[in-house]
Amino acid sequence: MLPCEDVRQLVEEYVAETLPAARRQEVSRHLRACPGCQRMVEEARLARMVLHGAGQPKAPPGLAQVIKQAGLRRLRYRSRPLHERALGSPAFVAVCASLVCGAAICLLSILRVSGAHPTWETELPRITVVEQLEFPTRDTHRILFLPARPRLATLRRPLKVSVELAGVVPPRPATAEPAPRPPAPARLVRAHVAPSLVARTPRTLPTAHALPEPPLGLAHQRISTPGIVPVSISTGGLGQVNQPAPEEIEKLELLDLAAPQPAAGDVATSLTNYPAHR
Amino acid sequence: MVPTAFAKTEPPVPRAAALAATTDDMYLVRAAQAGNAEAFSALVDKYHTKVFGIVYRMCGPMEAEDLTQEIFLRALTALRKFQFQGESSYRTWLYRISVNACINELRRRKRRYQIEGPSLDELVETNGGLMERAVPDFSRMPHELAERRELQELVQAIIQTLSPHHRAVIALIDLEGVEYEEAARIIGCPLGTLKSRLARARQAFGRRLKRTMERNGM
Repeated sequence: MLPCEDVRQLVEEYVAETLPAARRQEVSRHLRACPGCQRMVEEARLARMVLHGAGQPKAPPGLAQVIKQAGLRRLRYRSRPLHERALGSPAFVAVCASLVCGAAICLLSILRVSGAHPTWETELPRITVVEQLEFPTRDTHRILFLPARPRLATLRRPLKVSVELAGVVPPRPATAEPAPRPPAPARLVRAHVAPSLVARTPRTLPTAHALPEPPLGLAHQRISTPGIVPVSISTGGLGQVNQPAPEEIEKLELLDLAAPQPAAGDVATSLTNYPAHR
Repeated sequence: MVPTAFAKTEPPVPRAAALAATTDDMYLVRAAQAGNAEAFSALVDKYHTKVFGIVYRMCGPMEAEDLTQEIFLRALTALRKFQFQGESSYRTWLYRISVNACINELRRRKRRYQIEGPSLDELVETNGGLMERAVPDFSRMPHELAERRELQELVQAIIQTLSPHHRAVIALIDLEGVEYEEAARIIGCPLGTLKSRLARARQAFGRRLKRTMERNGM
């Protein structure tokens, strides 16, 4: 007798009565003994009967006209030239808008990089900081060295700073005898030094300026002006000068020889071998 | 719009008539490919009822008209790439577009909500508005009951509970009268697969129909 799986595959042909006679008898014999397959055959027969008699749904009367009109619009649109179709299409408008935006962004980026902004400088200002970092040689007297006031080339919106170190003495090569250095031009140093710190010596200052005799009443008084640092400056033969205390050192103001003469009341005390400003 | 009446199925088309139809389709399709609007209108008049029937059976009355229009526009767009490859080629191609569009529509609906189909206890949309599903008089023979409007609506409701592939085979073979070989080309599966799928679809349909009849007291 046929198994249920084989009968299940032959149900449709059995219901449609298209099976060969011998095969049909085998299926019938199986159905008599199998209620499950029998129920399956009844369901298939009922479905076939109902579906074949169901008929076809009737389409609405205006459906064909609606479809034709939509199709004709599509055909008319397709018959237009490509440039006419493209001009009105949303895709074309979107592509053009994106190209315009991209070009604008690129142009703004280029202008910003090149600095073509009207309020920006065309050339980056340069700041030249000149510093003299030369320390006094052995020939010079012991002094307290303070850095010179930097001279700025430009001060406008510095975007780039270049520091040029002028007057930096390169390290001397290892030689037996150091090369002689020309003496630096003399440089007047204006400073106030407490008279008590200055010892009188028989040697006079090599300048035209001479220390005035302090009043007796001020012999033990400290003469200094705010902002002026009384420093202990070597007189180079003028005599021994005691080192001032750190608290007495306020400020040192450096002047060039070509600078105007010090005002009255200021005392030029000594000369130092400062290299001139350049 | 809900169809008011169901016409009887047309008898199967003889082979000579099928060849004549194919020849007519060939001229119409080539004219439509060239942009002839009248050829396209003739094709619409010839197939819009059958396409609507497939859509109605597979997707139900809701949005059946819109989907039918969309199918014909898709066919018009893809018509340039269409090439004749034997008899009943254009009809096969058009039915394939219809079945695929219906399956995609069912999947899209399923993504929104679970497709269970209309419950047998739900109200039925008719031309007179929503009505309760009348209990069919099963005292008569089933083939006579098939002519009753209430049973037609019940058939549609049961079909909506089947899977999309089962709906496709039932709509093509049992309702549209398409032959097995052509249906296999439309669905894109071997003939044996089609027959087994049809058998399972009919069994599922019959099982649910019988269960409904027993519940209603037959």
